[in-house]
Amino acid sequence: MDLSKTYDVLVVGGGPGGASAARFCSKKGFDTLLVEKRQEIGAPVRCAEGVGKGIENFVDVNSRWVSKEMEGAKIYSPDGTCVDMSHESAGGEVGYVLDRKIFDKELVRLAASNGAEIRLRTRATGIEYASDGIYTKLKRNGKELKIKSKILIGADGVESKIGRWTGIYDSIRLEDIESCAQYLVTGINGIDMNYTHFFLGNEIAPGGYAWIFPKGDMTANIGVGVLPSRHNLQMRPFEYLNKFIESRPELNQGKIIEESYGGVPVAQPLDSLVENRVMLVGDCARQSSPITGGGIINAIHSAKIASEVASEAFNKDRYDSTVLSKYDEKRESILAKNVRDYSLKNLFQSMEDSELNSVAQCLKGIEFDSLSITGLVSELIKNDSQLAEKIDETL
Amino acid sequence: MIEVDNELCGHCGACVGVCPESALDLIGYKVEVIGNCVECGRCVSVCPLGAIEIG
Repeated sequence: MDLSKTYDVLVVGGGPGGASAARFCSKKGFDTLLVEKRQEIGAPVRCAEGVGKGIENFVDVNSRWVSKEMEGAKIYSPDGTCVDMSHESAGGEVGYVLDRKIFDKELVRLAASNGAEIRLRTRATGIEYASDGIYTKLKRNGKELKIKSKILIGADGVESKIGRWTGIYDSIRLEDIESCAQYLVTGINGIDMNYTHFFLGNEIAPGGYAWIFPKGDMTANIGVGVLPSRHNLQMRPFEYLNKFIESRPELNQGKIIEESYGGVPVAQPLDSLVENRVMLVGDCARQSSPITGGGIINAIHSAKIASEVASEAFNKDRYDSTVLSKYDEKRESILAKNVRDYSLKNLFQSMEDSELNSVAQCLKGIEFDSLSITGLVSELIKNDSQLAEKIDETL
Repeated sequence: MIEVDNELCGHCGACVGVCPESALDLIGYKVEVIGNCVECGRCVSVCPLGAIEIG
């Protein structure tokens, strides 16, 4: 880390978005520094670790960081009706269950092997614009320092400061974040370990869902996400999770070997993620899917786009928000999908348990191999006119 | 003013994300009040573990 020079790109945050931004930028030959406030990449885990097969477009899949490959997803309505979805139609959220502690380190290793500098235990505390760059104030091992770069990529997660310092956005609304608790449980029995399992219902997880993501060896990530604007403060997400596990004989003999907690943005997608010299990627850019909460592929894809836009900026030697707004244009397909998913999220969250049961009854047994979420909704319209009307109003 | 029980805290940063005053930060593995808390209670609501109370 050289305090006297101007880096081409400084990336703040060492999750999948930040690591990928550093990887793609250093690959293009940009002088890149990645800083991460924690002392370890990939830990603590704040993720259910599911990712779609689309990950293959960005990184060569390796058994070292894949815990288990999935065949599909099973979605259970409050009365237990199961809708079976193959991976093509499950919103892209099945494919693999990862080992994030290894996966995240692999992404950072790729960045490092391209020449990016990496600094752990280094936290951003502010930014300052200069005429020929942007200073990021950092605190490392108790000492304050400043790093100058031409471009700053913010990948600082759900607790992002960079998005706020730049005025790109304000705080996340309580309607737009899932409050999550998850245990890694070993010794479970009687669960189909080739499927991810999603459980809906206002008793199970108000405004969210509970999940079982198998990792192999009778072990799985079991978690719940609830909407803070909906849940009763008398019962916290970890208590919903305890209740979910205790009530199921196939889970309640298991032993917890890891706990993790997280806030997952399920937010109104943001049209603009740029300011002068700054682009945002990943959870800090609220790019996770509003309906599933999955965010890894969007983060990596956006990081790739950001590196391409950085390249254009260097060619023009211009770093203002007009030039960087190309990032917003080029991520249009990601944005459009999240806009649709946000409407669907609002629809599902407005449903009573009886309506969720009705949806599941109507969909069970239908062959989902080629059915998208849009197809799923139109299928429902054919079978339940009252619900169809509600869907019409929402979408 | 809020009080964070750092033994109960799961270090997830959700409270930092919802704070409208940018008054919280997740520093390493610890949530700290770094700004002006207006006692809106949003961090209290979002915490998966109930580690924050208005004191």
